[in-house]
This record gives sequence, C-alpha cells and structure tokens, in this order.
Amino acid sequence: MSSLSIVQPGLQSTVQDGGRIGYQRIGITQSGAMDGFAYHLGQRLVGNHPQCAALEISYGGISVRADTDCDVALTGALSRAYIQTNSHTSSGADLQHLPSAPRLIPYASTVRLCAGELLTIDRPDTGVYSYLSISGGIVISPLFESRSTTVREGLGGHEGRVLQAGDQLPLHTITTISARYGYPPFKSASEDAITLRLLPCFQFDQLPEDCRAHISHTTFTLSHRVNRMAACLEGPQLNTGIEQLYSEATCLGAVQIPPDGQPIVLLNDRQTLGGYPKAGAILSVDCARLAQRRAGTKIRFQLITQTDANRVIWLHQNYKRELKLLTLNSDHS
Amino acid sequence: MSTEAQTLMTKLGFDIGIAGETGFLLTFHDEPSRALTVLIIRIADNLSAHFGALITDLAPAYKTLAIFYDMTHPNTSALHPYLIALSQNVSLELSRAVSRQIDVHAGVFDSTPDSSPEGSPDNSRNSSVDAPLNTTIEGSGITQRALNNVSEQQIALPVYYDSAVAPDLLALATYAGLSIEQLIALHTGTSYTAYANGFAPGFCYLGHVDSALAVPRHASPRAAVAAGSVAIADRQTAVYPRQSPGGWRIIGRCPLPLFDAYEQPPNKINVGDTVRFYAVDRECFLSLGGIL
Repeated sequence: MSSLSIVQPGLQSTVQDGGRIGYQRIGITQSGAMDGFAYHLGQRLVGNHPQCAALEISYGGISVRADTDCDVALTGALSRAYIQTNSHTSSGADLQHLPSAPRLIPYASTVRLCAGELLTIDRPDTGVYSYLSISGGIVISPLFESRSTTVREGLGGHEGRVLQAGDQLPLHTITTISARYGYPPFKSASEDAITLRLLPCFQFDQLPEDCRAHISHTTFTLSHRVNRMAACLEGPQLNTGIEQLYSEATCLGAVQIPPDGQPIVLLNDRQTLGGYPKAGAILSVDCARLAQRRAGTKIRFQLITQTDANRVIWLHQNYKRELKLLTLNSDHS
Repeated sequence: MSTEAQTLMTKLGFDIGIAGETGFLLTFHDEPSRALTVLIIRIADNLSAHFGALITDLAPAYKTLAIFYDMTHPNTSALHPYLIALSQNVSLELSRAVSRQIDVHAGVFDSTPDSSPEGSPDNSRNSSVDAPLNTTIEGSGITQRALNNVSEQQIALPVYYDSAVAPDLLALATYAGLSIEQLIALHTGTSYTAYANGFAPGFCYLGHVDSALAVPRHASPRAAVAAGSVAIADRQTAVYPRQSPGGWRIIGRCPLPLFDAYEQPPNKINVGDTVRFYAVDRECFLSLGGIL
C-alpha cells in the first residue's frame, strides 16, 4: 500500500474528519476538523467523500512526502506552501539530490504531488488550522464511525495521537483525479476583532441581569489558553449566582462560566458533560471562526434568536452543498 | 385528580430548553434518583425508536436529557411538538399510574439516596419503580419495545482499598471520623445508580455515596490520577478509566478495565446500571490484572 510520510510533524498535526457524531451518550467527544468549512472545501477540491480524513495542522511547520502520485489541496489558515523534488536523501551528502527550487502551491486549489516530492507548509500568516486533503483520503479504519483523532483519550486517527516524524499514513494506491479545481480566495481573515453569534440557552435565563448585560455588551479578549478543547476568554468577572448545577450535557460552542467568572467557549474536543453554568452556545460556524483566531483577538457576543440561528445554519449548509468550484486548466505540471 | 397526583405531576414533568443550534435540553423537575434515571433513559430510547436518524445523539445526565438532531432531516419540525406532547403525557400518565398505588409514592420518588448498610436490594422499591414506567404512554409512542432497551445490569467491581494506591484514603477516614474498615464498609455497603457517562470514555457518575463519606473535591485537581482510581466527590463516586487529571478524593483502585473501544457496548458501566463495590486484597487485585 502507498503511504504519506511525515518528514516534519509541525507543532500539532492530527488526522481529522467531519467528527464523531452520536457518541456523546457514552461519553465520547465529537472531535473532527476545527474549521469544518475549510476541511469540507479541501475534500471537495481533491474529489473526496466528505468523511475521508485529512491532516489538520496547527501553526504549519509540516513537511510530508508521498510514495505515489496524488492530488492534494491546502485550505484553512493562509500559509506559504511549496513543493520540492528530488529530496530523498536525508544525509544531505549527495549533491545530486539537493532539493530543487521550491514550487509555490496555490491556496485552495487542486495540486499534483508526485511520488517522492516534498511538500512543506510554513507557519501561517494568519489563522491557526490548515488542512491538507489528499485524493482518496487517508486509509484508517473508522473508530465510532470517524477517523478523527482525540488525543486526550488516545482515540482514533493515527494511533490516537499527534503525528510524529517518521509516521507513515496509508494511502490508496491510485489516487489522482482528472480535474483541477480552485476556489475564489477568501477575504483576509486577519480582523483583530470578531463577533460571535450566541444563542442564549442552558442557564441563560437564570443569570442575573448584570451578568447577561456583560455578555452582550462587553468586549472579551481571547487568552493564550486555547486549544482543540476550548477557548478561554478574558474580561470582566461574570457572576452567575448559580451555586450548584448537576452535571449536564455540553454542546459545540457552549459558553461555560466557571467560578472565576471568565467565560470558556467549548470546542470540538470538549468534555461531553459539565457542571458549570452555561450562558448559551455560539453557532457552529462561529466556532470555526473562533478556532482560527489567535490569542489577543477581541471577542464580542451578539445574541441571536433560534429562528435567525436556523436561517444562518440553513444558508451555510446550502452553501456547502452547492459549493461552486472553479475548474482550472488541467495542465499543472 | 388528587392533590398528591397533581404534586407528582409537577415533580415528574420537564422543561424543554434548547442546547445549542441543533439540540434540546429536557430538564426534569425532580431531584436525581434511580426512578428519574430510568425514566430519562426510557424517554431517550423512545425518541430513538420514534425518530430514528433524525436524532443524532442523546446525552442523559442526572436530571437532564440533551437531544441533538439533524436539522437537514425532513422530519425535524415534528420533534418539538412531540416533546411537548411527551412532557404532558409523561406527567399525566405517570401521575395516574402512581396515584392508583399512592403507597409507593414515597418509595419511588423520594430523592433520598439508597444507602442500605446491609446492601440487600430493596425489592419493594424496585418493583414500584417498574409499575408506572412500564405503562404504555398512549399518544406519545412509548411502547414496550422502547422500554426494553434500558440498561439495568448489576455490576460488581473489585476494589483494592489501600493507602499504597489511594492517597486520600487515610485523610478521608480521618475527616469522616471513621476507621478505614468502617469507610470500606460504607463504600461497599451501598448500591449505586449509574447517572451519567461522561468526562472521559468509561467514566460513569455513580450515586449516592453515604452522607458520612461526602467530601468536597480537592481545591486544585491533581495533574495525574492513576487509571482505575476509585474516588469520591460530594455524594458521587466513580472509577477513573485511564490516567487523567482529577480533583476527586481517591480511596482505592479497581483492577478491571472500564472502557474498550472494540467491545459492544464500549463502556462497562452504562446509565441505569446498578453498581456495587467489593473489597479485595493486594494479591487478588494483582491477579485480576491490577497495576500498583
């Protein structure tokens, strides 16, 4: 079987797909790509079924090499990425095999990666999570119907862990596709302030008036404590007045308020149950936007009704389903 | 309707809230009890049976049931009205069923936890739990088929209660004014109800611990609690399935694995199960696969 070798693993690269849905009941978290749209787009660009897995790379710094020709696409955080040929030797002693000049690869486009070529993704200029999708997907048996890695539990993905140098991820032998696709460039995602749409629910109605007012009118700051589990925000101390709560289910985007009064937005690898009061949940599309922001970003919440939330989700689902890709010139060599 | 039945109806009902963009959260009025947990699981099974693929996940906990759904499913709009009907029917039907045998009221819906020191199962209570819940709830679709899916295993877990594996054993005994033997007798002398699976795969919240052993969590959690650690927090007890950070007080260690991704079901303990602990010595702990 063909494989993709991890030459440089980057800071935290894992195998992810659309997530593990349906197992919260038994305490198994959702996981999956933090930026669901970027993942979905990448899979479309290489002609994959949405549940084929891709590499999720946080803060770039990864180099990979395939031993077969395949098509790849880079989506998510905007990074410089390039392909070099003939770099088989690791010793560097063989002058005939010095890497060629790097060939920059376009963002969000189908790109041919030939056998033996080295693909490197630099640290992104903006954003956090990049996705490297590979035609045919990564051949890993699903666990609880998903190939996503939950590092905390050692579940799924490649041996349940973060990728390391030397890992070999199995690929399908014949993986190239005939068409080349592209996607119009995003507008730059470098805003230093974002507004997250918050659906008030869970304990929102039990919160005191001033706490609710803070949530809808205060600007919070994204702290350094942010990972696949959650994003901790800093701001005025919120006092929920709720002393005791029996642990109950959480959901993607739930905004927990622990006793220190600093809100925590729960993300893909969140705990399935929690005993802290929750002011509601931000929309899943906004979870992806939040996940792509770095520490220091200013955060505001905008309360949204369920009707409006439904409309946003519908539009998003439709947009994803009807995704219009550009067909590129197939002469890519 | 009698006053008692009306009171009961209020207690048994639930509020329908939302849990994010594609979820509902049912919050039950009653305090956590075995009867309430059985009811919650039965409602969960009923919803699965009735709506099939529309329901993407169901997460029961102490007094809540989170229902997650696929909003692209054609039948999505039927879910909320169904929940409203269910809440009315659950209250009405259960209160009628119970008011017919009002003597069981205290036994079923008393939120005082089980803590019979002899550990003998209270059969009268168990049968009274079944009486109202086996009632078919007309119009809401709760059928006998759905009712059969409740996990009600009896599980016995061996525990090595020793300071060598339990850093909080001595301190907790001192705190409670008990000898270690008395502490063990109280912890093993109770049948616990499995209220929720969560925190980590294989972790199951069990209650209620005898009030003499109720102790708050550590102010700051330990960075690493060993796999198998048997612990107490307030009136809950649980086994840590694998090494993880944790703030509960550790009183022993269980040698058996509690989660296996390749087993069906993967969790050894599931919501609705009854769990008892029994003490084993070092030799037995090791022979069962325990690691010191």
